[in-house]
Amino acid sequence: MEHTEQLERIKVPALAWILVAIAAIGVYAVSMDNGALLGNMAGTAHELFHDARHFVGAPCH
Amino acid sequence: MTRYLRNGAIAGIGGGAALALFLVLVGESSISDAIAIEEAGGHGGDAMFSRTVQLVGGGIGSLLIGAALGAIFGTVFAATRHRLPGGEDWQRSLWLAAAAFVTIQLVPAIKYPSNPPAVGDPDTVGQRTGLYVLLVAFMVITGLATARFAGWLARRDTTSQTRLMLSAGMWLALVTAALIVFPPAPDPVNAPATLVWHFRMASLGGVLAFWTATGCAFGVLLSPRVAREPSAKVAGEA
Repeated sequence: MEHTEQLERIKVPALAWILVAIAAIGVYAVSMDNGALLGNMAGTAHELFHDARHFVGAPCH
Repeated sequence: MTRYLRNGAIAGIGGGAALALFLVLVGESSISDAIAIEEAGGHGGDAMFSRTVQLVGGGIGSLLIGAALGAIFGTVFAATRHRLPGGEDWQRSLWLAAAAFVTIQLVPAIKYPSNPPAVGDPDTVGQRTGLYVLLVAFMVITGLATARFAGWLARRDTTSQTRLMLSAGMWLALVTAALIVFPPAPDPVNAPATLVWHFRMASLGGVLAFWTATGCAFGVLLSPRVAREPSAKVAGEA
């Protein structure tokens, strides 16, 4: 049975996890931030990405 | 490792395109209806961008969110590949996409469903965002803890039925507890119920389209271009 064989574990370097953290912050900035991260830019980001923000379920307004 | 990251980001952009398409075809009408209600009530304020620009911006936002979530997806896939069910990478990819959908979107949407414009008090947005992020974080931790628990059970010579029942039970108990303990969404929903319902269904459909497209695209990108020879005994290359 092929699928019961133990697969080799892939080594994930720390750099990849740092990238994951940056990507998560990026998702937050685009979809949810209202000033905590982007400051005065948040209003513009909010209006520009408005439809996507509402659509992915981020709390808005 | 880089191929997982790269293919993840590419698949995520594909998923973002599916999300944007869904937004334009299904979601846009209820957003526009809601904005009309908002403006009729005098709460619209000055529009910074036209609806057309907002729609394009929504598309760009979808692609950006898709690329970022896709990169995360690729990395998590690499880290969990040896534990994911399914004999081939495309099956593992679909499993992980389904888990991601339930963990970071479906369960949070049950407690804090998405709302169209015209719903939501600007004064509580910080509180609502905080609760939402906290619930997503809780769900990620619950997923990891359940996987650990299942692994621990596996090392103790339990049958797969026992493992499934106990792990699923633990996951359900934690999720149910969170849904009860987390405070309800603070804002009243005064928009027409049918509008809110259509928007929420469109929104859930959109994120489902995103994860389906991302999971499929990632699986296809990882799969060998030609069907493997029947004589090859290697169960997937690293």
